[in-house]
Amino acid sequence: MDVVDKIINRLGQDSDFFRYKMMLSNEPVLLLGYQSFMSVAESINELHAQAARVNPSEHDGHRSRLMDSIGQIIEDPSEDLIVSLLLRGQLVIWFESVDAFVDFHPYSKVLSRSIDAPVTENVLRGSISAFVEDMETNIGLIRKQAASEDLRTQSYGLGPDRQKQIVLIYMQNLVIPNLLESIVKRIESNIGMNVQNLQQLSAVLGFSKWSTITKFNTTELPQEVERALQKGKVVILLDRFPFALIVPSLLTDMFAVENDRNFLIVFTYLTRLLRILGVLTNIIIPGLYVSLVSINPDMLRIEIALTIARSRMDVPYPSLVETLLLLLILELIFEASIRLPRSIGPTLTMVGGIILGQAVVSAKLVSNLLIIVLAATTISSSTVVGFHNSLSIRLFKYLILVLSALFGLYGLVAGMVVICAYMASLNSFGIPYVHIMKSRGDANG
Amino acid sequence: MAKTTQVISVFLIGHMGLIFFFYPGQIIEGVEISHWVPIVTSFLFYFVIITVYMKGLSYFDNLNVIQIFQQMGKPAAIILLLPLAVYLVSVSIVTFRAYSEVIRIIFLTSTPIWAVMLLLIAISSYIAFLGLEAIFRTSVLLVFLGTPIVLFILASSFQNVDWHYLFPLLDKKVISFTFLFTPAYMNSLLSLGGGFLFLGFIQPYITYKSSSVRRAYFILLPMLLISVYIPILTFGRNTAVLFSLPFIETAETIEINWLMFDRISMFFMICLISFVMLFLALLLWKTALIIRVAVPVKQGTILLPLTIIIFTISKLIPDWHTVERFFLINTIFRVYAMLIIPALMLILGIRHSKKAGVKT
Repeated sequence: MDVVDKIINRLGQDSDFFRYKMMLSNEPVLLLGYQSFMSVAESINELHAQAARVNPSEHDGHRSRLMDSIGQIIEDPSEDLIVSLLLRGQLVIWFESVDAFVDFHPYSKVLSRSIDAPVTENVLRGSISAFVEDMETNIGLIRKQAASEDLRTQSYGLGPDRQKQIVLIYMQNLVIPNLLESIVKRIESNIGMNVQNLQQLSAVLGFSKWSTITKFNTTELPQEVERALQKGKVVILLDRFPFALIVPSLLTDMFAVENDRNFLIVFTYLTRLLRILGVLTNIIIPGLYVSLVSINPDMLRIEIALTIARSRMDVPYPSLVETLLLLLILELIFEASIRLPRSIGPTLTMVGGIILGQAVVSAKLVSNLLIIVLAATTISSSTVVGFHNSLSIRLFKYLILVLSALFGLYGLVAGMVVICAYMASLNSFGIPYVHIMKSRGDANG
Repeated sequence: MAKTTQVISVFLIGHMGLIFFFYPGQIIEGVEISHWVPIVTSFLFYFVIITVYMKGLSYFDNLNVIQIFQQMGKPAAIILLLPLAVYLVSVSIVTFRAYSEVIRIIFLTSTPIWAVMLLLIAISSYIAFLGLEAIFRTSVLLVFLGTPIVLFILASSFQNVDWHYLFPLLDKKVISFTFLFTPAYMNSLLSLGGGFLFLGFIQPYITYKSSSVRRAYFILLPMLLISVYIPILTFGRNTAVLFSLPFIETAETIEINWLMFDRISMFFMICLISFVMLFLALLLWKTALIIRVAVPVKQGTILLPLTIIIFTISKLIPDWHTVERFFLINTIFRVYAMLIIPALMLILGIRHSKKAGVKT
């Protein structure tokens, strides 16, 4: 059985796989390809047009010139190689008389969105073209943005059949050598592993599974990528994933985005300060409420302590339960608003607003003050940069909440110390999470 | 890579935790007037010791105390390190117990002491378990979070001062330096001492520039002065001497109209407690490092039994007086750790450099 039959045997049952026999300037050929990747008629027209340019009069070497002119002749054709070409959307032409394969670049169908504004990151003043699913487009965007001859891309095919493509991008002159080296080493040693999602990618890179802080900073914006490259970080692009993954992700990525620098410098720093305050508020406030109400009410001014006590007079359970109850509802609203289609979203806002607004207070289920506390928490949880970071923050606040309920303010500070220590203990490829990276890759702990 | 910032922040954090709790009480008790003289004396005393210590260490290329002793052979190392280990364990116990008591007095009057101790020791050993680098990085984060609050409270603690209590600035009795020999002053001197020993333990894991650390030491002088003088200036010495934690008591008197909190001193305490947690973590780490000379296992493995032992002993201590007795018992080890070790370092260092000089 020769290679063609083997390929047809392997892919033949796919409904979108086609075999098309035809004559190409008097040569019998067989076209193989997936019609879902290309528009077949236009590709064949193009093929004919290219073939017609080769002068058929000289008989000698006509065939080889024809093969040269339409595409790349596949040296040493193996079944696996050709299958992988076909799966990547190429049209493969088999010249029957000499049993040779030519790889032809067809008219491909557009299977990606066009470049658009970012969906998860808003840009107020700055470039607003965001990454799309198509990897080539993304690399192009980065090249255009970075505009540097030191930009290097390195591609790997991962997975059991090496079909899933990932690309490493870095600045040759700025990248932290250890970082690049260990990433490349990890990828090469785990090249057989599947990468369909970020969990699998982090398994490939050997990150711990149960970490509560993400090791990838994801962004949709080429300008963020450029900045990361400038700092010596490595950017990973995953095929069909419209985000760039920046390794390592650092604490500062929670507070700073490159777009801040498009405003006056005073506002850059003020905005970042605001984000830090937001994160602190989010983590601390629910715990502070519980500890002040249930364990250390002596901290408060007597007037406020009395007001709180009065507002909690009819609430039948301890403040921890009260807070957890409402926090749970809040988390549900968060989750529901991601799930719901945009047209039904406002309903949720309205219902949630009613629950969290007046109803739950007038039903004497929670105290007035708690509503304020939770509103502050919710608002501040969204000031952090990147949704992946806000998830970590949301989780941390429960640690503080529980410790505060047990030990009051002492528990609160204990929780803060634990969180700080946890963040301080993290590092990816030898770069600590709490490291502050300066531009051009020089380091200052 | 030099991590001077981190070393300085641990250095300051450790001392802040020590200074504001017990130090002012001991100084006020030991000396009647002109408190700045004993404060400056102890400040300079430690400046000399720290300089000697770091000078001694600098003769060895990035070696820590343990490795330097080990160069002299195992028996010598064990003889020299054993008192140090005893000191570290006893100081951990005393510190745990004392600060648990303080936390209970300030925050949680109705919580059983074992629960307070359990959380304190659990967190400290967790941080110690995460490793030295984590300890140092955490310190930077804590300094970042704590400094605004600490500075705010320190600034507002001047609210009720009466500057007349400052006088007399100099007194014959003080000039004669008789205070040096009162037990309270000795205690104050020793209680201040635990904060610098780590400088000799962290190489080669973390290196630093010793000149910067020496410079950072001067930040402590105003802290020492504030911690003692604020209670005196607010209450007068005769009242202040009655408190066991004078600075804390004084901070309780601060009243700021526009804040919703009545006892803002609590926030100050919160910061100091977080500093103490880190200081304890460092103590545990050092102890584990020394124990590993005799029992060669992993750092993490040794921490758990160590934590359990320290917790059990701390729990067996029934009251405050026993803590103070404990404090007296380990005085000899304190003196060893604080005076002998730095001096020994310098002697060994000079000998080492001479040897090296002969060779080349």
